[in-house]
Amino acid sequence: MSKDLGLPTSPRALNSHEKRIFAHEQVGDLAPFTPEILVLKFESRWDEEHLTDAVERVLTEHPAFTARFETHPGGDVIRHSDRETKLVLCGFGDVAMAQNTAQAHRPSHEDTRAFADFWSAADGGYILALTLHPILADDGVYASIERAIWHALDTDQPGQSVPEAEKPQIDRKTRAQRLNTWQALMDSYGVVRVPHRFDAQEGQQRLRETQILPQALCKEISGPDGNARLETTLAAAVAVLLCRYSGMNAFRFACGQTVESTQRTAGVLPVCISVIPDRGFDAVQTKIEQVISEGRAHQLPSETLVQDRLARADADPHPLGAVSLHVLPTRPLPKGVTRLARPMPPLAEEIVIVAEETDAGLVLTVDADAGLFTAPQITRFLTHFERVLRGGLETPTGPVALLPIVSDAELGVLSAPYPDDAPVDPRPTHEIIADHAQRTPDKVAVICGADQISHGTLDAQANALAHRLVEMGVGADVSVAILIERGADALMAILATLKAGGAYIPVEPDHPTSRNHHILTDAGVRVVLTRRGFLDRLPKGLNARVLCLDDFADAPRTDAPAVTIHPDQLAYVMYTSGSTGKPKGVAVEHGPLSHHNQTTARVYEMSAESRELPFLPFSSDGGHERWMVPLMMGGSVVIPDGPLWTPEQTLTAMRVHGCNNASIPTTYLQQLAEWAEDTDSAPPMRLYSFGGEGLAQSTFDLLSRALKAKTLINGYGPTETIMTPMVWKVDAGTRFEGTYAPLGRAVGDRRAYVLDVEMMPCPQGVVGEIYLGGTGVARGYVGKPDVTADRFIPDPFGPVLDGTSGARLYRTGDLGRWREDGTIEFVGRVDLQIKINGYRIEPGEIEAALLTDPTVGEALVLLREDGADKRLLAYVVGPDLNAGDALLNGLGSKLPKHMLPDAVITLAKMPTNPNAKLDRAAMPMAPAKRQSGAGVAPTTAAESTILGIWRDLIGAPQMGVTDDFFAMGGKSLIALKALAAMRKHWPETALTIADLFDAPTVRGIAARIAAGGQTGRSAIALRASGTKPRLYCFPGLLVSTREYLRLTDHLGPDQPVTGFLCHSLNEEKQLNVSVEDVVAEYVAHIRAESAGQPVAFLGWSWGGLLAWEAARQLRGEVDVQLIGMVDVCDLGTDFTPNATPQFEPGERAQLEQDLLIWLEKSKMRAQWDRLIGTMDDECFDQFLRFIGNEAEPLPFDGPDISSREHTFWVLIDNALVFRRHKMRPLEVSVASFSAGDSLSRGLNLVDWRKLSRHATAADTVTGTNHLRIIGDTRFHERFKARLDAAFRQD
Amino acid sequence: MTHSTPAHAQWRVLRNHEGRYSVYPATRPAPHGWDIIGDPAPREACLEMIAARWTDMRPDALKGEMS
Repeated sequence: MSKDLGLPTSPRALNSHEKRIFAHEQVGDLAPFTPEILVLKFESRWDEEHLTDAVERVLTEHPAFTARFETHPGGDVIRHSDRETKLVLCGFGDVAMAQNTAQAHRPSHEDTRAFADFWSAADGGYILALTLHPILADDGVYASIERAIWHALDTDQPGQSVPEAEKPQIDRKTRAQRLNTWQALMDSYGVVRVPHRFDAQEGQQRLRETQILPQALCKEISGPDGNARLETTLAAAVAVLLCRYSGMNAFRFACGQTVESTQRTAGVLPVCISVIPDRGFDAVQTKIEQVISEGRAHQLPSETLVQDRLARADADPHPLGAVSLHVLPTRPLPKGVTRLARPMPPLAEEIVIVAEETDAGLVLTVDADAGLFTAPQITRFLTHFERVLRGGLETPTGPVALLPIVSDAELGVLSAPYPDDAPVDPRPTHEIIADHAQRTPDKVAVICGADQISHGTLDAQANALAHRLVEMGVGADVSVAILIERGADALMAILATLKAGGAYIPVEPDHPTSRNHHILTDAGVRVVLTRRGFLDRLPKGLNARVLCLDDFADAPRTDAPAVTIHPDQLAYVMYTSGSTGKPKGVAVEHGPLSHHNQTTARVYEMSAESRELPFLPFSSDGGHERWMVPLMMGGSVVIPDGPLWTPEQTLTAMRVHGCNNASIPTTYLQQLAEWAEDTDSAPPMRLYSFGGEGLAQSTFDLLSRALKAKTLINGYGPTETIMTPMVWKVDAGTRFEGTYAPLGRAVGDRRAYVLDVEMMPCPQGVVGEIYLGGTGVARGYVGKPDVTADRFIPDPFGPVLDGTSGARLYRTGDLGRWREDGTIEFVGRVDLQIKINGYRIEPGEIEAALLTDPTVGEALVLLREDGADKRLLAYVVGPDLNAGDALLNGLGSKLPKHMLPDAVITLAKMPTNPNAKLDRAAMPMAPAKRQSGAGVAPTTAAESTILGIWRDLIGAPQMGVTDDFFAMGGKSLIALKALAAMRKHWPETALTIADLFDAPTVRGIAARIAAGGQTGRSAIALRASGTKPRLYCFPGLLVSTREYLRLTDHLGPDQPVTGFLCHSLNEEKQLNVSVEDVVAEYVAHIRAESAGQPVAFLGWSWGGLLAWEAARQLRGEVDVQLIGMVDVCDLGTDFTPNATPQFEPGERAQLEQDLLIWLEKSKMRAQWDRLIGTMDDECFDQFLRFIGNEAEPLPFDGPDISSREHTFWVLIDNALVFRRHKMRPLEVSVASFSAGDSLSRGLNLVDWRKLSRHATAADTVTGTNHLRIIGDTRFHERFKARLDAAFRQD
Repeated sequence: MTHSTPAHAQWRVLRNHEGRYSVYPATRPAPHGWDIIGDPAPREACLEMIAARWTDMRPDALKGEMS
């Protein structure tokens, strides 16, 4: 029993992992770390005494059980090995009891860190349950503990017999080199994410799903290499799945790793990987293997990498990866021992995947942030992961892009149309309409203005015209243009065309002539039906017969021409914007049209009683669906007799004519609903249908509320897929999760898909392109077989899901995603196609129109978001810079109104990015405005001088004397420079930064100088008034109060906020000031302003110490309801009294020598001498140590206020101020917040619970650092919640 | 060409039983009901071939009816 376990015992400093956990514990927020538990079960063949002896030896010798932590002044912690952990013999119990007890132990920082319980198992044998504080253990430490136990038990130990030596420290140079390599890597591989749920917000709750893959699969994966291969295989599956979920091909995620050690070492490695879509799974695996092994060879502690990333302004809150994979190493056990529990990795990432090979199979656990994901999402993620894994193993060389993620069964459900089993009437649309002329000839069919036309009359008139059209040569696939304004005559003419067997082409008489001419000549129109008044709008030399309705007086007749319609015959050609610049004619056949209309009638629950008011124009196919369908059911339509009815006219018409349905463009719907709500004038309606634009929840709520309809239908569909191939039909009042109302599901014999770039179905929540397939699609584009073939592609899904053959899919070019309920949500356009007011606009068409002007060399049209507004802006290069308005006027004759941009902006050249690509974001929002509002010239010598200084410092040569210093780009440091420069001119007036806030213009400052003084104030009212108690913000080093502007915004208009300037921004260099002196001015201000009032304080960084002191001085005078302490650190070892600095032999003398040489050169010599003069011996030694620790040489660019040397001086000066200060307990409520990065660095954060019983444990804001936490929205939200709670309690 | 077009080097011209044409990545099996016409070629070349061949876009059944 005297065998040496060979474990380290000498005192040592904490490693980086331990430092971080120590800091977490110190502020009272251990998350994401948890107590680490190991539970082992020994069969009854083990001897109890032998077991307990062995375990007790391990408890005596293993550092995890003997650790004691000693905190030195300044926060340095030393780990000793002289503590005792007792094995507690718990008597009898079952496994669950042992595990519960182990879970219930809360090892703490101050007291017991380790628990060891020993049970006689109820079912025979023994249970050993160990619970260790995370600072002591992770899975790798437990590996060494297990080994020590086997060793002490004198068993044949599985695995290696010698504990791994502790890793050697990496030297500074290697560390810097490695950091460089990692920086370059991480710069080129972005953080990949699984798409979040709607309204996602990072939360503190987690959710977990587990799945067990059969052992056979493990064996298949592991092969001869065992665990290593398991890790790379699973990592490859993660990479492929993330690639498919995100659409990114190069990205990084994190891979955990556990190394056996006697101290905590677990961290994560960023895996930077490119997934090449057409390569096989085995290639991804090979690449991953290489990336992981290279990564491990160049490893740095995760903390080092995280700290480096978080120092950047654009840092991702999960710098090493938002998704992590941890493959727990398999550790063989001696015979008769089973492992019932082992530690999990810290659950720090958005998604943590843990895999462990067990006897039962491969246990996969996915643990996710419940604020970002829902349980069904995570369950699906697991299912998809398994599919990718199995698929990859089955076809290791097949393209990974084609590995199935969504199963056929799931795809069948997701893509399914509204259920509709009714038999299809084989007759074409117009024959079904004509049927009602036989059955109910006197029933009203069309109401337009003063006209009321019955089904019988409409049919008889159409018959007469149809006979004429047949005489004129109209028949199958012959086009007839309808150049007639929307109304009863247009309807009649269309029906006549269909009866004659022809295909109608609607042409809006008021659309621009050039566009109409294109339509009339492009499709080979043979007959034009129009009015005399529109004859001048026809192109000259048009090779078509023209019939004016004014000249047509044939008697109505009840018989239609004897024309048989083939289902493949064309019904209409509808023109839409084309990316080539000219509108394209979409040709639609009778069969799918009639089928579509019939299904739509059923989905919309139309009947002979239906009376619809269709508001959509006839130039969109939806406008035709909405008269065809009611007439097919024997119902009627009320056609507006003008294009621009007011909401009042529309609602009146609905009421007067007894409409029960209305179909309205989404953009008009809002006005209508607002009017209806304001005047309470909504008529009772059964159904409103709308579409053409994203519909926000707020608008949808308004419709529900104001329009008093039972049912609402949001319709969607490109012309190419016939009218409204997708609808979302709901009861009024329905809520939806999403920015815009869903597009819904397919209608009729169609399916709707969301596919990725490789045409593979996207999982729910993943954005892809919307495709529509089935028979309900157009024939194609008239005269454009190549464009048709490009957009209408062979359907690979129909044959599998429905047994179709030769079916086609239409690529809509719209981006969407499947929602949780299987409906599709619109996300945007694939290309830059734009939709405004329901109109589809291809920028190319507008650009093409602009380019017809000979002076225009380049043109670009963009839809820009201007605040809440969307503006269609055209940019041109070439013409005179003032030609924009003239070009815009010119467009009016070439494009319909809805295609006219809001402005034409002339540029000298198109902005490009470094890759020489067009930089769309850099395009100006409006005609280039001059940067300075006024640019007013100075009127006095003083103004002139100040303006000169400001212009130079800000770099704004056009700035005037009334322009705002900060609005023009002035920042705090520039403000300090400006103050310094102004002081050279007016040494007698000591302006402060407060003056600049108060009077931020040249004119204002000049007036202050003329008045001969400064404000002397150090308090800035960031928000002057509000009903809540005032919040006072205390400054950290060099804080100018502008840092609090975003917080002030977030706290809202009711929260008055005052910020105090850092005393170091006052340029008078007072020495030997105390914290009490520093806060005296603040305290006086608060006393004057808020005596007897409730208030709240906020202290950021060293400002926390000031806030504390101010609260102490103001006891009994103001009611401090809460102090927010934001990442407040006490002095570190650098300057804390009694933290004795250590020097190498001779180092101290050398440093002192260096200091003297530097002081000789410094222009701030006098200030330095004064400062050093106040130091005692210990402090001077600490100063030397501090200089020695600096990586950079000492700066001598002072005394300029923004110089590094000046900042350095201020830092040391402040350190001395706080060095002399000691905080005393105070009973005040404290809400403290820590930046994740500060914890990771193990900074000496203040534990406010030690100073006040009313302080709570810190709230950690992960993924941010000491400087950026003050601007972090997550901090703002949490602080606001605490503040609100504190005020409520009052 | 929009970015939704899969970036494959080789495509094929396909034709269905109705006489409608389209293009499909050459490495993938043609969906059921589609026949392969000609040899693999870049997408543009396939579309050009279709432009030249598919001059009458009426489906075969309709052509038969009308002739």
